[in-house]
Amino acid sequence: MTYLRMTGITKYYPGVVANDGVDFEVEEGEIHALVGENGAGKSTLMKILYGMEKADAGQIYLRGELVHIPNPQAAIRLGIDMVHQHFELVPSMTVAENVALGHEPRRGLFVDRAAMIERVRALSEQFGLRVDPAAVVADLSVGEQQRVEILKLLYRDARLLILDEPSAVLTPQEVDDLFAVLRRLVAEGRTAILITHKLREVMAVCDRATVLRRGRVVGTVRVSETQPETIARMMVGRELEVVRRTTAQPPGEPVLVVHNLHVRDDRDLPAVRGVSFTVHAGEIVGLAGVEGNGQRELVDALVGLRAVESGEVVLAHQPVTEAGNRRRRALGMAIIPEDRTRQGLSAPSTLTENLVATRYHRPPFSRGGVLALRPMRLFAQQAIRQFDIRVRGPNVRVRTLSGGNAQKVVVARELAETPRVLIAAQPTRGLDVGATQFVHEELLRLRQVGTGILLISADLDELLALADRLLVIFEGQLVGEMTPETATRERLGLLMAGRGVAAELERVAQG
Amino acid sequence: MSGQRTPLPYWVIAPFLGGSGNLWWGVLAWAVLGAVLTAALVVSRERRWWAGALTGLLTGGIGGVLLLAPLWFVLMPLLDRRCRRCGALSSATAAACGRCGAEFTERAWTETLSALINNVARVVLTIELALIAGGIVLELSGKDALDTYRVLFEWGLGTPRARANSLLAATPLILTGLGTAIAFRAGIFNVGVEGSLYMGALAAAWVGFTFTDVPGLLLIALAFVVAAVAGGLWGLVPGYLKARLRVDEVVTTIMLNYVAIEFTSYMVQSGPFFVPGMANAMSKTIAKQAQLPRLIKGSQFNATFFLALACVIIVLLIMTRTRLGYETRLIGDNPLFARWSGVLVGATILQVMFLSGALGGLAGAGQVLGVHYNFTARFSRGFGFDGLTIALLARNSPVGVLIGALLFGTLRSGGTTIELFTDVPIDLVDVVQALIIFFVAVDLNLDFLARRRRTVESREPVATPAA
Repeated sequence: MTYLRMTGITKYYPGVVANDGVDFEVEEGEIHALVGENGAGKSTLMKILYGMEKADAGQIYLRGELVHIPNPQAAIRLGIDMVHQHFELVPSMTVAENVALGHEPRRGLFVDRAAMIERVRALSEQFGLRVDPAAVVADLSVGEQQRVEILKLLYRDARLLILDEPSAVLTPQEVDDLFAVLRRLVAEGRTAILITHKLREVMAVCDRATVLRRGRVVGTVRVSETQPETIARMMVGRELEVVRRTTAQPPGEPVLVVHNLHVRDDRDLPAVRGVSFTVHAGEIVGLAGVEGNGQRELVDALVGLRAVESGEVVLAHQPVTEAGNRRRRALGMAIIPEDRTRQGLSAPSTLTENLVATRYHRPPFSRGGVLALRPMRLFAQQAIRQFDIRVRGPNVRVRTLSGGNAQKVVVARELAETPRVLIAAQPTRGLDVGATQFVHEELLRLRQVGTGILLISADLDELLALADRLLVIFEGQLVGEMTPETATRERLGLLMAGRGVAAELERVAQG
Repeated sequence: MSGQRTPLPYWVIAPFLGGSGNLWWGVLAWAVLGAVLTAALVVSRERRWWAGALTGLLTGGIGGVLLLAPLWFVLMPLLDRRCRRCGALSSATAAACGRCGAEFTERAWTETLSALINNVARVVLTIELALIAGGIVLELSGKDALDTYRVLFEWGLGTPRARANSLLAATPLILTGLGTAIAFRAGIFNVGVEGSLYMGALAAAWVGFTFTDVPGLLLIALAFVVAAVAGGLWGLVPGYLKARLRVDEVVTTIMLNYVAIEFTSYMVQSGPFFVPGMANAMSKTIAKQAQLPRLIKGSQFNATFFLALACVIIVLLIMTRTRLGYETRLIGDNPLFARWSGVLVGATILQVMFLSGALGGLAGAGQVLGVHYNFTARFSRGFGFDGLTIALLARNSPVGVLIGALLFGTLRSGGTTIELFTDVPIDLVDVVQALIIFFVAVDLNLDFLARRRRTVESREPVATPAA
């Protein structure tokens, strides 16, 4: 039976149609995937359903009845509820308090604490959402926090659950747990919509999938009768070849040597604890790990923006442990930072200004303190052509670019002159299939011409496809090293979660 | 007129020139022009062009009539035959009324245009709004607002001498405004230009009364240079504290202002520059050849104004054409990105703070060499703080600073006379100035709305724009 029907949904933003006559149907008791590239209109459609945005045209029917959803409160009353990508929890309150917030059971004037905890515990057991109702949210892992979010929805008795990119922050095991929870939910007669652009998840857990492209519905398919390649083709509108490392090439000389590095984080706690590794020319070294295990501090230290507590960094045979960012770049280091919008780009500045940010201080871009605008413009025009950045011209403000296009600007700036060493931190986070492919191809091209690449990623598929060697980081220490041939998702997942560390250390010692 | 061949029928042009005899026609004509301009800007951006055109026409038209009418009736009788100039002012206003539309303009060719219109129009509009609000205050307190403003502008602009006095009053404001703007552009909230101004003034006076043997031009140049260096070094103190020790510059610059004011007062009151037998706390008079000549009879207007104009151009060139300017803008726009790109942020902060202080020092020197001919304790009537307001008003654009300073100067010099000819106290100028700050804040809020809208857009990013 059709549970939800959205017809002719149209939404304009200035200068762009985010949804263009979208028809979307979800059956009762199914897990329905909403897939598409960034900017395809998935989030807009769900925001309209959740009452966060107003559609310019179109109707929403729930169980065949026309409904009007002016705000999220109305959506919640109708049983429609959403887990956002960024959690909305109060860190200092307990799980039960967060879950019941705004709908606390009362006894007289006071909150009935015991009843509240009991209800949350009952829900958590019913759906297999393992979490202690009395625990403080700040102490929970990201995976647990997500369970609290789902509990919140169930507590408010949501019948239709919308999950926006729920797996982005989870380890593979946590993703499996999440999927188990989702199956249990639909078994209980509830319905779920999963916003994602990861095909693996669609195939693993969803019943049907609707593909959006450029604001329009490309089609709805039954997952069990469809190949993943078909869905990928629907998403991007063309064939995609899987980018992976093809040729084995012998590693060259060491270009980045890190020896026994210790780094502290902003709260002055040890974040990187005795990390040593070497990156050779023409090699991609992948660093796997759940976020927040010291990757950020490691990258900061490698690029010269965070003081090192002890240890050594050698870049192209030069000791650079104390050197600043500019000196490291002069020695041939390039950086694709993790936070594209804040570290990688200046949104109010123009495309040209962004492209020359790492080289404006040397000829031909400036002489004697005076900028040479013409070489800058020529450089920008060439970069736009070479890296296929889709813009009107070099004077466009970077703020106006889409995510994939913006990352192309970062890549163009960093890779315009072949670097000796590339530090690539989460280079494809948030990018759609096409843009991801572009970044992967660029990384492999660099590997071919002898750049040593350190690839930090939370995406195991990416690491397995590209890296020559894999390192696993957990709580600031390297807990495993392996080749992609010997690595499996399960083994990596266990190491990333800190389980089986002892066993793995033993294996490393032996092998 | 009717006998001449004109490219357009006279009745079309006449209202714009104020020549039709009916003031309302003038108001209406300029409002419509502003509305059409606004509509054009909006259309170039909106997908549904008719919606854009309608919004533009409505906002531009209504805004134009509402805001222009009072101003028009104030200025027309006053400026009489200079309606052309008045019309230019009004068209800027009308365009500004619809600037919400222009704010969203992102296309390359219109962006430059709308930025230009915005920059000039915002300054003019903000001051006009403040004048209108001030007029309401006057009317409410039982004064004749029109008459007050007539006096204000007559004595600010009415005669060559009045205009010279306005330029004279604007001179230090241009320099302190530039000094503040350059620091603001780097994201450094430097409130300490006032302090640099005092240090520069004292240094210029010292040069002026010490090296009395040096010939004129050379001595003047020397005094300006030493003043700039003194002001710059004074700016380096909070700059160093910020760059190396991450001490908040707002606190240090405010405190250092007091240090500078008290230190310079001490120097002439009882310190080494004390002159026995002088009733006021002031230094010796500077050498005759160091005194900048007065260029207009009956006014203290002097060549410092042209130095200030040159500084506008120099700062403009620094900001757009030099490495330092690029670094300044980058740090102001996104300091984190600047660090990740290898910009030497600390060194840039030091250079910017030196420049900022140096401009303040020049402002001080200009007052000593061109107005007072000595250093008088506490001589500044808040030039540094007026500069801060102007920099905010101009959003750190050097040309905007120039316009803002000229308007401020007019208010200041015209304002000194209103007490003589009306029963309105001179504090009116301060009220207007406070209102300007108020409207600058309102303007920032508009900007905030625009930004919010942008974030919503960027969250669901635009499908690839046509290459």
